Amino acid sequence: MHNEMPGFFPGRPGGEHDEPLLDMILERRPIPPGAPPEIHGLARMLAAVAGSAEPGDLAGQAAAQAAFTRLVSPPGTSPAALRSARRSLPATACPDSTTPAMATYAPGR
Amino acid sequence: MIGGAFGVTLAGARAGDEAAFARIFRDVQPALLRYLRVIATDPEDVAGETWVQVVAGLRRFRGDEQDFRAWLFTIARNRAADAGRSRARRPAVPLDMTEADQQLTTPDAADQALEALSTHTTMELIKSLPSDQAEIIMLRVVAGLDTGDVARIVGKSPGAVRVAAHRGLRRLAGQVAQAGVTL
Repeated sequence: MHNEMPGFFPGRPGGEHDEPLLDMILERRPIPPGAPPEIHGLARMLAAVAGSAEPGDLAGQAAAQAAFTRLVSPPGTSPAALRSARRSLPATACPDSTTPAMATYAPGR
Repeated sequence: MIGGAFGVTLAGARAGDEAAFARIFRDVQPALLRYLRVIATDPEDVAGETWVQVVAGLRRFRGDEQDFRAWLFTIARNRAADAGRSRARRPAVPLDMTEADQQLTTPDAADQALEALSTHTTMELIKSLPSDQAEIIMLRVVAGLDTGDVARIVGKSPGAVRVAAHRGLRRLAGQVAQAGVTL
């Protein structure tokens, strides 16, 4: 077994001297230009992992959305329910609008 | 992170606004999946179970965006533990080297290798760390949680979390240095 790796500053054995730089990485703060190259490389690698979504990262949205609709959305407010309600309305109930639900709540009417 | 609009977005989701919920989902899900890919062997399933529990508790939740993330990742960790497929099953030795990793071992190809260093490869490097270090780095860097929140989630003191994070980062930096990656 070997011990923890030494810190990154030449001539300074032990890891404690690199802690400010490591904290910068953890807090996603910019790394100073004079920092060792491996610190810059590591910061870039981790920034990529923490970055924007890649294909597949939103897997499961349909299932989560369905659970949300089932558990949270008030009955009749999901898009599917609104479409269904719209289809079931007689044409005379909403002669000038494709959004009958909104017409019901329009201010001033 | 959603930022200043989080409160309004959360209120909308609580009121049943599907678009508001979708915004929260899209904001958190990438980090959640990446975290679960480190601590669980069935991350998609665990993520799904996590969201069901989040949705069920959404109206009871109180707090800001940081609190919400801490709550969600706590649920995720518990669901991963329940699934019984957490870190102990991961290989303790470094992973098989992918083509991109092999390129890293050639110093004169370092620049090209860094270009090719995919998120996947970085994830594999993180997964090769001791499990507590890997998890803490994911919660700090990817989930964006502070030391206190991470300490509560993993059941360690803030000092222990900081030490583990530093040790993990040193190991990762050592791998970067060994590979000859420079910027």
